[in-house]
Amino acid sequence: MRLAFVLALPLLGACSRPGAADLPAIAAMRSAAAEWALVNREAQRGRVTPAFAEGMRAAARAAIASEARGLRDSAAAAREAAALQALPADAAPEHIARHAAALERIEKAL
Amino acid sequence: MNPLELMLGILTAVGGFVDVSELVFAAQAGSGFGYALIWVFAFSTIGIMVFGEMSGRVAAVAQQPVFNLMRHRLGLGLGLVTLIASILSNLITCAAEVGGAAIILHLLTGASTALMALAMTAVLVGSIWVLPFKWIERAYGLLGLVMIVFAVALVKIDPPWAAIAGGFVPQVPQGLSVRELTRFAYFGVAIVSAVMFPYEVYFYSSGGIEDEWGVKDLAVNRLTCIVGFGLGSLLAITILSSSAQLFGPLHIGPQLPGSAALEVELPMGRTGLLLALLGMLFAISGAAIETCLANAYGIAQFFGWKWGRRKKPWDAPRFTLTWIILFVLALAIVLTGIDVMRLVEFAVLFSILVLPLTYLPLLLLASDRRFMRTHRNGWIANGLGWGYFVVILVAALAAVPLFILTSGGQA
Repeated sequence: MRLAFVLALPLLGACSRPGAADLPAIAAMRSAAAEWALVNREAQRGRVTPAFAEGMRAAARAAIASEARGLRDSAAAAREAAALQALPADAAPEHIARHAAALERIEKAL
Repeated sequence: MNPLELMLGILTAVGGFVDVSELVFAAQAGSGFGYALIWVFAFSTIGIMVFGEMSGRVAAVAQQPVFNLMRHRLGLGLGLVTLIASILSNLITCAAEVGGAAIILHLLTGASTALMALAMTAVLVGSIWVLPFKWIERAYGLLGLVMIVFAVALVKIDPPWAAIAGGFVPQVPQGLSVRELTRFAYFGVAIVSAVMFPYEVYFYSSGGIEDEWGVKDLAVNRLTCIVGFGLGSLLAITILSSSAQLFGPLHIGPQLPGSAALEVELPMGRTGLLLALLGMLFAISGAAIETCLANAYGIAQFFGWKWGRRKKPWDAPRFTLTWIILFVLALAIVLTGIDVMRLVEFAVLFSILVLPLTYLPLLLLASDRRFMRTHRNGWIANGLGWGYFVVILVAALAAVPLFILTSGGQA
């Protein structure tokens, strides 16, 4: 029965809530920010190479910038994205994680 | 049966099993759904064992490559449709592998991804040109065994082993919203596609011809598929399990090939990170070669050209030119600046659409008494083959709607 439900999901999923269009972008930004925070935490501990840290930070920041451009309805998410983009690449992991948590709250509210 | 050859064949299959799509989807699946998608990996692995064994048997018994037989069996029209669909799917997959390898090199060296993509393509072309077939396959497959560091890392974090074992039981998690269930279904379909990529059977069966397999090699073929693919799949499952343990609680849905390396870094530090990156680099590079050669094999076999790396490059000029052009095209796609992760998603999406076209002719050929004589499919191979064919057909029909509804698994 559950399998039949999963197979029917493409039809059920067609009914989505207003504002949900931003969900993929918010989820992607939240994940990228969490990943960036993790990389910075490990970099602070000297456990990753400088090339790895810089590459991962740049990729996370590029993902956040790219997803932020696609936001349509969520002003709160746009504010968090702007705040994240204003942080330096080697920002304290706690600062980045705070914004990631805020994005997660927005995501769950949608 | 030479035991050393058998062992090397199995190890090569293990090291060559994981590619960029499996890395990405295993890590994302673990982070998003814990251990609940392990059974899809296990289920798909039995599928690739079934069709891999079939393609190797067809090569060994009929002494002809799959695409050549396919054209005769299906006729020019349907054969051509299959060829074109496979070329597109393999080319996108090859570009994703080249792009993934370039990103890993970028993370290792700090040099630009575009420069690394150029360098990587030059190394891959050089490898195919210089090395005999057996060593092309083995060099990258055996170096890819460095990926075992992921299994060591999993042991070090000491996950809940009972929960991991429970993941092998087919299940749909309880209490998920419709949105989450849609994502779960999308990841299920993507894993089936990533494990059963069509290029794998083209490369594997053509490799059997390159290695001059005959009926005497059928046992090696069977063991390589069952043991090699089985152990390779376990590596992918360790990536999923570590991700469930480390990334899930941090709400990270790993979106980059480099993210998986953090699964090893967290328990093992900088040395673990470097080993993970190197293992991933070799595994992805090997997959890039396999996708490119699989494409060139298909084109050359379909049109009846001379083909194979057992010949000198200039003895099979059209085949040689084809694989070089395919690598250049893959590089050109990467150099457009397209997000490599989008390429990975497209590769998986295209592949699932091509899978039925790939596996139906193979199933028909392997059951055909005229070609296979006493080595045609028995009832177990036929039963499994048709069962998996129905599953991939359903997965292919659901793939595009699920991709659109979940924005490629994002939400």
